Amino acid sequence: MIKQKYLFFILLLFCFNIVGAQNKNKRDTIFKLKKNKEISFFKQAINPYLDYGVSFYSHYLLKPGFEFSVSKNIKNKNKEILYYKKKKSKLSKKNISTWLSINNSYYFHPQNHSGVRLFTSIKRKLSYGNKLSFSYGFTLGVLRSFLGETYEVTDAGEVKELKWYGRFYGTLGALLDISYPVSINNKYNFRPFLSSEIYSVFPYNNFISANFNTQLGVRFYIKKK
Amino acid sequence: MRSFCLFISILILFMSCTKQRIDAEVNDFFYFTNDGSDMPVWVEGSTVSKTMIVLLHGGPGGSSQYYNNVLTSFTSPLENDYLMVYYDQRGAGTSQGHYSKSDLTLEQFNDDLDKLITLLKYKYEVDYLILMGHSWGGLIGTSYLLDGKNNDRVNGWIEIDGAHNWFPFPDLYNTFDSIANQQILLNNSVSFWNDVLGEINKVSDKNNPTKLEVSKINSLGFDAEVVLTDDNQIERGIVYKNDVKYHNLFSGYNAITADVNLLVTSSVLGMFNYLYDNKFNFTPRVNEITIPVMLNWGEFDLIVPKSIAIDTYDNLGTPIDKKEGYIYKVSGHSPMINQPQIMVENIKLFIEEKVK
Repeated sequence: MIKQKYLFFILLLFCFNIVGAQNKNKRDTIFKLKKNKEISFFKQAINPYLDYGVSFYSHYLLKPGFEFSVSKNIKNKNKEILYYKKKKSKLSKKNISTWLSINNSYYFHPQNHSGVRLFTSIKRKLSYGNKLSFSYGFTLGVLRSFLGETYEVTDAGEVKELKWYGRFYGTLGALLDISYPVSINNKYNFRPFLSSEIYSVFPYNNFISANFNTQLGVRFYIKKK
Repeated sequence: MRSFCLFISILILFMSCTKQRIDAEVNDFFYFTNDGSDMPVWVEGSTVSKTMIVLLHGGPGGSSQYYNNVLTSFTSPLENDYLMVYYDQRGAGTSQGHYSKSDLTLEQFNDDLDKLITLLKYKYEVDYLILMGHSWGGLIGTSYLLDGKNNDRVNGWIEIDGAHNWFPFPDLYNTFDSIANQQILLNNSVSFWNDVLGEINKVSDKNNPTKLEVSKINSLGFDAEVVLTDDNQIERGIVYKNDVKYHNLFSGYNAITADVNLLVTSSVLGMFNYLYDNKFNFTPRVNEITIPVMLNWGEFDLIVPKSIAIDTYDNLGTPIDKKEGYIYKVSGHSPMINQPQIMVENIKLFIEEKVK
């Protein structure tokens, strides 16, 4: 029964990714609309409609893991400021965008708990030209812990070993992110990123606990013909 | 295909010749779950003597891993001879789960311990099971043994500065007063001790201090221990810094979780009000304990004063030839930090001579 629940949960996680990926059909139309109306001076690769991320996930300093994410650009705002400095003018191009993401992360922390986390994040991204981007945002999600070898003793004194034992917790966090595009053109782009998140886990024991992670990975967008 | 079969055959032959692990050394980890709490358990040491020591850490909300991986000068020599069991109690260390504040009771801690003992006896072949409790662990161990049936489940009780009298007033104020005056006479940190005396004099009812006063004197006790150490009244002890780094980074320990657990469980969000309202004092009942008992106390303990150890020793139901009491002259609330070697020797002597 527990094993079935676990399999169902894993299936659910993959479904989230598939659902996210199926939005691609709509992407071109909306993307072109945004391109024409709002981000004319930016290369389109900066803010695609959907992009994907994969990263090495370091839970609590050195505990390894990995994360997959699908992000959707939901809002764009451009700022163009002309600076005059020593008789020279300089045009500053800044884009502020809002992103909604669905993320799956898996981490291994033996002797504490390993976990699968499914969460959404809403981020504001500040992009300067086609170069550096900074993001900050909030995350909300669910964590399923896996404890490994676990025993229970009944009131009658019977010892039972529990398979796939763990619990569900809620998570609420804040993140910071920095990314830099290494390859941009109309068809695809790759942006390595470094991100750090601190989050609370609840209800943990009789209150809450806190955790943090650091991620090093890449976000990418590949436009289909 | 032939070479592949040959390779597999050689591999199987090699694996079948691999030396079997000798089970004298154990290094096990597992979780134990009970009534909403998932508690990590580490079992480490030697099985040769078939003697197991279950460590009840301090707190409430402390961590067994501090004893296991940081106080190695104390626990490693014990692991050479015995099987040491370290577990994080509910709401402590890296234990986790879901339960309500009303589940943080002494009865629940005793139930957790009782079931853990059942599990340990199921998993390991032991002839002697001994409880060892430090500070808050002393309160759990004593209350567990006072449940009549549990005297038969445990073969020995080692208490280290145990808080089985959680409300040691006015004794604690008297101890502060005596040590402060002694240190002023010795010209050690005079201004600090004058401040201490000033704080004590502010307390209106020394028999029944308020929650704030209890909290303040507790924190002052730990501050005083630092001052006494700096003035060479307490032995500094050996805590290896590399052990701490290794422990925090590479072990399963999660310092943030452990710190949050300590903060929550020891405060009004956890057990403080419950402990204050109940004012547990088991000293008058220790005559019900009949198993071999060893009491270890620091001379300069300003959290649980040594007068409690003396009263307890006198009141124990244990026959005189089965009980031991030690006051460590250059120690505070944790003699296993200050004088680990001598304490290990005393514990081994107690187990070999009084328990077995």
